[in-house]
Amino acid sequence: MSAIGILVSVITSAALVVLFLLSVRYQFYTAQQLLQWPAPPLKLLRQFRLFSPKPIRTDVHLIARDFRQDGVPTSCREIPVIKVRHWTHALWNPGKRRSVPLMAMMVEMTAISTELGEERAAVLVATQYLILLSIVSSPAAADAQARQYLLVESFGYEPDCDAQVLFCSAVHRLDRSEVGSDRLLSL
Amino acid sequence: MNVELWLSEFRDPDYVFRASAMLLGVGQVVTTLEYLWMRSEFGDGGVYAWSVLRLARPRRHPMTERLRDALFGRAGMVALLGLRLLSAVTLVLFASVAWLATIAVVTLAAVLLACNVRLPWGMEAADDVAVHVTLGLAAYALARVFDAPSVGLYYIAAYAGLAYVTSGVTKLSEATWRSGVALGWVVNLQVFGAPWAVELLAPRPRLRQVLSWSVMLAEVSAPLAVLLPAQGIALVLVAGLAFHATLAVCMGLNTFVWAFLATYPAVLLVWTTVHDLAIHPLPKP
Repeated sequence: MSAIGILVSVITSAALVVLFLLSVRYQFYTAQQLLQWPAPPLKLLRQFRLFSPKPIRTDVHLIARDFRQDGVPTSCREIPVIKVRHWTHALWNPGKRRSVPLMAMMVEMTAISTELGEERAAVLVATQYLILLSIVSSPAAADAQARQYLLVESFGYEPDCDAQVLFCSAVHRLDRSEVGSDRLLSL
Repeated sequence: MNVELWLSEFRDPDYVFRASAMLLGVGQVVTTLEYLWMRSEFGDGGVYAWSVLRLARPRRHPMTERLRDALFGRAGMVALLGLRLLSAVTLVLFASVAWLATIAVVTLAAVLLACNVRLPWGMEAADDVAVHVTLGLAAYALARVFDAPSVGLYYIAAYAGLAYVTSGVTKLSEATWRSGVALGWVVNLQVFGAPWAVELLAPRPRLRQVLSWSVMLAEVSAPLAVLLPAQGIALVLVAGLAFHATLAVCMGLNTFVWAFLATYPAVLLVWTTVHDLAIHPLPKP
């Protein structure tokens, strides 16, 4: 075995041992502690709680509505996020590459809005807020002047539970001046 | 068929590397094709829109920012995913060609770390397990080039044990899991559940409780499986596969199957080591 081989072996093995020990330590931090710290480098550490200790009970839906020039809101429409389960998802499930991050963002957005409360300006520049705004900024009705989105929770497949509004975004003016038919939302 | 004789094949680290690399490769092919299928999500108006996500990144030198924008914009991400797909396919088809597998697994590790940085949301536990399997395989492959020993494969087994035990312990600590109620909540979610699972479990609290306890006890005691005889460890790993396959059907967690399956050859390496050293020497294949 060459000297360089020993070096490679020692460096890679030591790095993995350290990474494993850090991973073990990481499992003991509380959710509150993790919220206060920046994400670990390269996001190499994670907690394997997998729907525990308390799993989420509700689905969150992304709803958008437009406002006409006279200020009257149009009816709400749901931005499709969740696909009904099909057995083929056991093999091929690209839809979760949209639904899982969106669901995480919407849950975090609700928490941010609760935490920041009165500091509305801080909510408006949260990355989650901006991503959701960018998602709902698809083409609107011709007479729409502004748009707003809402986050609404429902109790999964339970049909007799009322949906509840968790978060209401600000009303954003639709700016059609820049790129013809493309409509951009301005803050 | 002699199970003990077959399992003793896993005492050869190269055999374990090939098996693990092929299973990891299959999972990465599926994952990468899913991302490529949804590639519009990397553009403006998408869940992973770089035009928005870049705003949360620290400012860098203009040259670095241009490079970062090129790599993490929609076109750059498609190219990165293309490289990830190529590495994964190479692992599936050429895991036994040492130099090619080494290049593929090291490249895959680099690409997965870049994806970790780029995607702040939506990474599942399966994606994280896949990253750590790749790191373990890359460490092993690099050391193998110089005929040097490595803990890479043992790291994979240890990481799988950590994932299972943590998940089991945190569930055991929660009354809603112990009573089976939490399982009902999870399958009732539209995003992770399934209507047929709700129909099956909602009216059967006892079944929910039995399933919850089975999962919790199995997860907590997973590391002890390396002490079992050949038939025992084989049964445990088949049960693990059945568990992940059930989650894939009911919850759509399809890539968990491949990510955790890729750790099983390393678990068998630990099993052969434990038996050779401490219990009784296994037969030579």
